[in-house]
Amino acid sequence: MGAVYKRELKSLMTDIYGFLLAAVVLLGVGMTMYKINLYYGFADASYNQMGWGEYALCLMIPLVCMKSVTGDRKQGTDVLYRTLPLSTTVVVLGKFFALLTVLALPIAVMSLYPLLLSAFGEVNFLSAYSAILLYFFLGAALIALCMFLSSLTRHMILSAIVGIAVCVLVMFAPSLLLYLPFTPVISLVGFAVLAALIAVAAWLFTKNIPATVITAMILFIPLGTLYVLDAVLQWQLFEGLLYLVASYVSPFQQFQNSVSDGIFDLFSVTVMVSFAVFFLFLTVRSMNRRRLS
Amino acid sequence: MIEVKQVTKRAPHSKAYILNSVDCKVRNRKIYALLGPVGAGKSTLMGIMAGAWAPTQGQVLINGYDVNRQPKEAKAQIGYLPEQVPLFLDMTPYEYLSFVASAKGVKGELLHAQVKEALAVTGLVTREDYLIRKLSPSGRKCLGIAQALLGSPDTLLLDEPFEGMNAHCRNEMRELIHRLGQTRTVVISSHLLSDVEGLCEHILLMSEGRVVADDTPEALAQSEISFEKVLGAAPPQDEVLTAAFENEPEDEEDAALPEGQEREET
Repeated sequence: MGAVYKRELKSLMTDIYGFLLAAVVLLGVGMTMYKINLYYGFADASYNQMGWGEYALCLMIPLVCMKSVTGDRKQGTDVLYRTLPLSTTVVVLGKFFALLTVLALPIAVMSLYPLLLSAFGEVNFLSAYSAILLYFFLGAALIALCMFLSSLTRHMILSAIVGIAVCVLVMFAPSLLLYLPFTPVISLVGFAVLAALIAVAAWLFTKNIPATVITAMILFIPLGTLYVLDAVLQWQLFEGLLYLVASYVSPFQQFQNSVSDGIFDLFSVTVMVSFAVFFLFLTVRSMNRRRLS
Repeated sequence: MIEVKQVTKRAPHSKAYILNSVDCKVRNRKIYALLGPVGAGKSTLMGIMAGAWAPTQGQVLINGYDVNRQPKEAKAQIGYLPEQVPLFLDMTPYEYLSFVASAKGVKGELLHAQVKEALAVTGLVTREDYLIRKLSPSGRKCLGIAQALLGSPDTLLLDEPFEGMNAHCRNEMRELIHRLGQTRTVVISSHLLSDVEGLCEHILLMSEGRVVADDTPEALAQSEISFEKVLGAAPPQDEVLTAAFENEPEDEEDAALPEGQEREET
């Protein structure tokens, strides 16, 4: 993995992408810092990563992932990786950790902000550094998501546009779901759509009809059974369930909840790490699938 | 030794066969030519042998290791040059070869020694610090061969090594392949008989996804098989060379200087 890591890191840092990520993230966080710490005069650095900092990640992470993953496919260097005695998991992890290192650069600069602000007032260092660390985990989750999206296409621009759109959707999904009624039917429809999407993905990945049907059955039968039981026994399980699940699964929501509470919530970290592991797994599957095409 | 057993490959979105039950063996320390017209399935077969693609059916054994079931062991036995050389244009040849050697598990002093040797064998020593994007197409091809040599593989798979080269570079490439063939098994693919004539010791003739002949050039010349019929009417040699010269500069940077002349690093 060391060879892939070094190669990817060098590539990102000799090109404009690594520095652009650092610049835009620092700009985003700097804008919030200006507003809260300098304009309003509060010394608390806990909220600096929220808002513009999150938008900066949504904008820049798809671009660096486009360069790292789709760029290989465009240049034909993915063939080199496939013919070297390296497993796809090693290649994906090498790229992932290289991207994490690039993200760590602006995070390292951000780590100085609480120290600087402490000269002008009382800073809660624990909550400030918790927020910075959670921001790093949020970035890791988005990197894994965008690596997966980038692995699906050979078109670099498409990869970046889809990545940005999906990141923004993941960011605003819980807020958008608030506009829908909290009725059981809405939850059922939402989960049914999700189950259908997973079944389609299973078909695309395996091209195997029995595997797709089994996946669909595993998803739809318990969903239907639970809904009927919920309606008959009046458990009221499905009321607002879609919003609840979306807000639990969304790494943005977890980040915002933890930072707002001023704590380093291990549950939030677990959600973000699980999110990253899930999409890294899908990236490996997606890259392996290309060998079969 | 490479054993290709009943390998079939179908096109991803249709039921057309790219390779149809291909069976062949490549024995040690010989130069093999995989000869066939464009679209015969040569590159696909090479890619499957190298582990770049998985066959729809069948298996490939490299010195007894199955490429799909024991990929790490099998891939360590081969060096592969794809038709489109997989290069990182933002690296220098030395950096690129160091990366490939490191990925192949070569470390320390041995890595440095192997990289230097690969550069020397392929004639890239004077250009080891240039950016790869500044190399000519034939320079890039040589670098592709250099990366295939790293890790001291027993077998080299060279897919269309003469593609896009002028006559001078073709001759140099033939000499290089001849030298490499003295210590290793080399498989080269080409759609031109002239590229492999006098170079290979064995020919695997492919057509429409099948191996239609598997013998020495001398035996094939005396057999009923007509190369012209299988490969299509070959253009006269002058036309081939003219086309090769026309193909040589791939971009403006490449066109700036003739082959062999030193380029300024930027």
